[in-house]
Amino acid sequence: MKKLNAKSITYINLCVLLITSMWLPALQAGMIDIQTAVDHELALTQIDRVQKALNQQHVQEQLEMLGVDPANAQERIAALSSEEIALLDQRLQEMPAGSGALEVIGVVFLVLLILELVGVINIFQKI
Amino acid sequence: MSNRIGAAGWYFSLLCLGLSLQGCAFHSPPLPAEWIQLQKSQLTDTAFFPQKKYQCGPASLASLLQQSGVTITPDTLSRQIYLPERHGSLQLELIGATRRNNRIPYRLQPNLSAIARELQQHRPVLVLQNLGLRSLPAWHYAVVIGIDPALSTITLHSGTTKNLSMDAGKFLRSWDLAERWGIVALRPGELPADNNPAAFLKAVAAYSTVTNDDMVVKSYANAVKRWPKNHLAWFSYAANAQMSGNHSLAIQNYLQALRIKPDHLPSINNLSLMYAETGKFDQALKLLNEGLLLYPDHDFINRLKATQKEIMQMKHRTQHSEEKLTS
Repeated sequence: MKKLNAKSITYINLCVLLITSMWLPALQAGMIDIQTAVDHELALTQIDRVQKALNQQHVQEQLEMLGVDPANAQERIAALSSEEIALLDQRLQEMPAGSGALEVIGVVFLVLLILELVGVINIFQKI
Repeated sequence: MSNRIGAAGWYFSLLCLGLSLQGCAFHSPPLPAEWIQLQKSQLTDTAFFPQKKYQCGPASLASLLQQSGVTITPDTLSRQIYLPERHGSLQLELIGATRRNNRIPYRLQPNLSAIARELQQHRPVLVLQNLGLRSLPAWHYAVVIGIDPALSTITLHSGTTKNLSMDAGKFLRSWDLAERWGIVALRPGELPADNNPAAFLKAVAAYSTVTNDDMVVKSYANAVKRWPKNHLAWFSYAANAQMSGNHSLAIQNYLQALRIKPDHLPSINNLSLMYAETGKFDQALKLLNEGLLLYPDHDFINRLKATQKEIMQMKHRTQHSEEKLTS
């Protein structure tokens, strides 16, 4: 129930953002911030507010599905730039998740064994 | 039993497929020519945290942050970066967590010399390695704390091993398979060893947007000292001053940016706003008009036009109220 509420609130927020952004004038006066100027220099595309909110919502859902509690997921997303959130949204499933050398030993052993079997290496001879 | 054979057979065919795709990638890549000229360094005082199961990310990041003066444990970091269902941590989340602990994450150029130069500055480097195959990856984070060209070794705090000495070629292979990803943690004000102002300013801008840390001004101040001929460094320093309300410093720095690159539209836009705020409307509009004539098709032209409209409105309002006062 609690989860449902949090979700519906974010959706309401999104709708509000979408609607208000339609009312905004097409031209935006004011200061050009550092990130915008640097990204422009590096020829990177800009991510607008609405797109960012959508990306955020998707990433939040994905992190929750991967076992992160909602409040924690929110804090984690808040530490990322719009560009990074967009990247997570697109590629989270295929991104590497570093876990550790210990967990790897099984895989490495298997690889070595297979290599031995197909005759590429020759390290188990004395066993 | 038959199940077991089935699983083994499945693994075997998968691996054969992997191997055939892999070709001869088992041979370590040759070390770069400059390898032998790199300086030997060992940061043996780098804090070491033996990793718990699946927790190489938190352990490595704790080591990096401790060396940078942040007191933190892997357990605290685990809550910030560990993904239970993936049994690991993502690179981007390590970047986010570095920011949450008041350090600027900075991605290094993908070569061994970049690591060596950071070690020379007493900064260990957190790297991602693939200890498996391209087709059957085994992702692992470790901290590079030393390089020895004469012995051809790299020293790492890795997993549960402190000061692990690894053959440089083997390390390079595992690093290659992880797209040579490596970061350092910079204190606000600290500059990276390499010479890439745009990448540094981008890292600082992302950090300051996320954290609102006032100390970040030191990064911009040092950036203009290091790269005095870079307009983007002056622009960033100016914009930071503008946001923190330091008008005179902002104006001075925007002017410096424009001396270096007279057609820098973001500087023109922001400086005209600063002029308008201090009542110098004509000066602001003159600057904007000059900017608008430069590139009629530029991405920022619409922003400049909007600013022009706003300043003209400000000017009218001010004149109006002045007329009211005098009448």
